Amino acid sequence: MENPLVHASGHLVNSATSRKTTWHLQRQQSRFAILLILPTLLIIALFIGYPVIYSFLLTFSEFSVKQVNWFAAGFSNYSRVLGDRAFANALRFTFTYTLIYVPVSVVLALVVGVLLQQIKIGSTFFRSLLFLPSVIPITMGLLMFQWVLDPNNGIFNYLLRNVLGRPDLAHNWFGDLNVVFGSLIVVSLWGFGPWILVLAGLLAIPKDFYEAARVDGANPLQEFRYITVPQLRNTLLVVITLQVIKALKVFVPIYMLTSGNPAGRTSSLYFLVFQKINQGQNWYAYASTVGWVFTVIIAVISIGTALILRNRRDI
Amino acid sequence: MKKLYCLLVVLFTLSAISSTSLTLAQEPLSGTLTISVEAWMVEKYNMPELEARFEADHPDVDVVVITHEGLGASYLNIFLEWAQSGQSSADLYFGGLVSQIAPAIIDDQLIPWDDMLTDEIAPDKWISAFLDSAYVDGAEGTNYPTLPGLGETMNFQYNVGLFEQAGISAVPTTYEEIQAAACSLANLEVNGQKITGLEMEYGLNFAPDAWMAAVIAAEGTYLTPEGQINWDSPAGKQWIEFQKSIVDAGCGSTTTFTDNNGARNALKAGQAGMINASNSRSNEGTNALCPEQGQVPCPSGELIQMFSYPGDGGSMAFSHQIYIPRVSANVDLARAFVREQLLSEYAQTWTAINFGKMPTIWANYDALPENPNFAQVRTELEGPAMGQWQFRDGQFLRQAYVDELQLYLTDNESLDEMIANLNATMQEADLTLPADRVLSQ
Repeated sequence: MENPLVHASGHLVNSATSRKTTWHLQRQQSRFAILLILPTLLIIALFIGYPVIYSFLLTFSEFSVKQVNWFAAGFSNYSRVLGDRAFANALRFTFTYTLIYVPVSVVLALVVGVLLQQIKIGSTFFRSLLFLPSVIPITMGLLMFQWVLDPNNGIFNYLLRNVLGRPDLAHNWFGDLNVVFGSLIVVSLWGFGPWILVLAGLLAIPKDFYEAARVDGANPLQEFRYITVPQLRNTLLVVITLQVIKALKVFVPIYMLTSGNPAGRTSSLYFLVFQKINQGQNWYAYASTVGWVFTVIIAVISIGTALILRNRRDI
Repeated sequence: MKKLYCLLVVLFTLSAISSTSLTLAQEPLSGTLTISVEAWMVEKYNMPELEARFEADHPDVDVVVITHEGLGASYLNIFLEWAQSGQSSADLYFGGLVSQIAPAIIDDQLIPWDDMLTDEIAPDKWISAFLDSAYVDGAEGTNYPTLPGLGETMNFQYNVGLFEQAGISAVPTTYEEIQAAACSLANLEVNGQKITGLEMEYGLNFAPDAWMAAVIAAEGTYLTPEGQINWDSPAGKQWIEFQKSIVDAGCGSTTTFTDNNGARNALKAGQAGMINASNSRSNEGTNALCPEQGQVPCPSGELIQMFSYPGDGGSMAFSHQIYIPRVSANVDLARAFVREQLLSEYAQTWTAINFGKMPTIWANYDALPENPNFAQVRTELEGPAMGQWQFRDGQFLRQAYVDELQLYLTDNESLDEMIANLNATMQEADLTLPADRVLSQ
């Protein structure tokens, strides 16, 4: 016996008819949904899917201006990349840069965030001031550093030589192998790291926690250790993940300030791809291969970070 | 009667042909000519003026100048555009060195200029150091896929005032003398700051060219008899050791490791006593230091002057090339523009006077005003001079040289290791030359 149902119109309908209507409606909605996302899908397929697949296939192929010999190269592009000194240098630089830049930038962001949270007077002014580097185009900021740190005419070396009387401290900040790495890190920290995200996380911590801690006699250091850090843990993990990805993909400071030099020692993997593409069409397959090896590396690190994040949430 | 009739027919036919060709020759040019010029060249080569002049001479022609950034992927993308779409965004291209355009020449993407090289632009009218670098061995009529637009040589340039301050009375002629001069200059102070004695090129922009110039000046060529790069050349090794000696002695900086414009900027700021660079840097330097700012040529004379590499007076000569892709839609207009404007006396002398980019045709060179720097470049062009290498992997080899040079200069490898690495790199490079091309038409 069929269960009668009351239709919206007030008529009784049986469940079979209702299921049919629902199914029909769902089908119509699905069609409409597909229609809505179709343009986006097409754009993604054309501008992301096609180049991604093309570049992947290119890693097994020989490319010239007139034709592509698909799969003619086998794995030779991979063995060439993995045996290349330029790739080894770029890999080493990228990882070293990431290992130093990420903790330094996160700690800096934490310090700035906490100070801004604590500051009582002029907080809007200081926040605006610190936000300035975020709105200034990065290329302009880097050009400014190029001038400031110019070995001959830069104001920094001038101050060291003529004001402080320490010419021995003056360097070719981007051309000296001993200091270029530090220079790049310092310049990359312009903007004080992701302090905005950290501050947002800090402001989300209920004030009651701090008040209760103070009632219990906690000092500021204990407040930071037992309230701020645990409460900020999830924010920090997100920030660290974003900073890791940003550091692995470093390109603009290198392009603007060092061109991968001195001696190719500041060439990141991203920059290496760019550099190889500029060497001619017969390097396109090589550059694609570097890109894909790099993608695998990033994927592994991202999955690793995601697993750590998941485990942390379980604690 | 029959003979007379035949003669009349022949005469009539001949006159018809000649009148047709006359009509064709006199047919006014019309249409839109699109010219691609490297972005930095638009001002220095006075393109707006050339465009206006051509349009004035040919009222039915509209000239459009578009820009492409040079020294990078954009030119490679242009070659791809020609090959893959069968079309070209411009009818005529001006920019790029032979070493950069070599892939397009090897792939036979360019229309040869040979048939146009007559009369005042016949091959013997060109400065051979420039035209030779455009020459490609092969079938008659296909030897000039590009033409040299405007050119330069590599040499040393010095700040005349700083030389006087340092008490240097004679222009140095040996590496020892150059180093002594550089170290004397490095002791000078300008605005309370010590200057650099000699700035040299250690970056991708000019480091390989500086090496080529040193070897050409001393040995005539930087190539082996087999056509490979002679990294083992004694003059080349001497040059590299000289550069290290300058750096180690603290008489020169390494600014150009990472800043391609480091040397020229130091010269323009009066903070370098000497530089080793392309000749037009002297013009820039004089204009920047000229007390009568904005006046060109500087009424105070050439404040930056030149001297040659030690050797036989020659140098490396490079030029910015002119070329028409086979897929160009407007070949006749492009050729007319080149002949009437780009190679004209006005264009070639204007840019030489204002920016130090030298004419590539002797008649235009002769039209230049008296100037010690022009005379110096002339000496270098008349000496043993040749262009850049033309291998398909030319850019890869240039980058390899820069990397190895910087490793050597920073004590991260010995000279022998550097040379061995360069020889090894050459073995893995694609050394296909324009002369190896397979002509499609």
